[in-house]
Amino acid sequence: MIELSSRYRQFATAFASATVLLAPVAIMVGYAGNGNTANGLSRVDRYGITLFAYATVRRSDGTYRRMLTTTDALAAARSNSVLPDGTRIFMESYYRPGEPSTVFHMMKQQGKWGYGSFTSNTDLNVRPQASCLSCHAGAATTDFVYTLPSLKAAASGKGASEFSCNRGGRAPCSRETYTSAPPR
Amino acid sequence: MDRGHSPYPVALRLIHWLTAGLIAVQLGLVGVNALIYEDAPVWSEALVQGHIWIGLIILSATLARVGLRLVYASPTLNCGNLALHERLASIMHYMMYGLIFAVTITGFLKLAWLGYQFELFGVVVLPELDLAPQAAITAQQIHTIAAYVLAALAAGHAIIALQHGRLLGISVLWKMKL
Repeated sequence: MIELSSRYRQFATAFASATVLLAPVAIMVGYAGNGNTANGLSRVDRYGITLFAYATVRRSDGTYRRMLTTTDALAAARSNSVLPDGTRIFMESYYRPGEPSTVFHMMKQQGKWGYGSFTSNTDLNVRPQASCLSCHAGAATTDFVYTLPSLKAAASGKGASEFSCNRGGRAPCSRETYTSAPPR
Repeated sequence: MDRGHSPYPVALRLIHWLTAGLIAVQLGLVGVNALIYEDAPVWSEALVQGHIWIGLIILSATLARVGLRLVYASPTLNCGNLALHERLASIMHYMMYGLIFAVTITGFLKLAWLGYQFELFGVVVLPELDLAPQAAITAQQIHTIAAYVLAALAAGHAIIALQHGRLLGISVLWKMKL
């Protein structure tokens, strides 16, 4: 039997105790983090819908936007270049971490995107809006969804994408923002 | 037709100032919209709707103005040989008319090719076009570039008109005085 110094025995006992005590906590944290995922994407139950975060766009001033969609959309994006009717995509704008300030969402109906937004009270109604259409025209080649490549990557198991936008404030990010970095 | 020092007919002068004012408003709406669209999307949509309908007014006013200009010639300056200046002024005006048509028409085409239906009080006022995303992108690019060029020309036009008397000794402001 190996003779251990009392100092070493104390350290080993403390380490083993800490491991035994912390293991369940680590398992629970791990479950919370990874159990609610699909294709490695974080699950978010919001607005009465189960959503998965597939991309984050971080701005130079620390604000960020998070893109979310439904499991049906993820399934459809895997094999289609054009998203089917019923697809919903949400964009949450965070001016500070925590609750989103403005939530923009789009839903495809009869082959066309309808747009909506809300702040505190969830409103999932969508309609054709000239302001939204004008901005999304820049993504006409990707079914009017700037993050469609990220959505397809996430759907095929490549995880969520993270992009960096060099514009702060509310200035719209350039189209290149969404193609500047490969999915994580 | 020699109209001496009579200004343009009142209708033409009104349309000129209406168009100038509305173009300035349009540029302002675009600037304000860029600032508020994320915090106040409902107001942003209201601004864009205003932009659309003001665009329609500018287009209609310009059509009316061109029609009136076919009837009423420009007042002459009665100040000797200014053929080169008048030619340059004509070119500038033709360019501005052309740009006004380009900006307004491409603005409508862009949205129409994106599947947007123009309604006023529930009534469809422009025919619905088939989706044409690539054409819409081209229209958007032309719309943006032409708008900036028009703004620059309009600013140049205003500066030249204001400085005309000082530079050439001949004031032209009386032509459009209300």
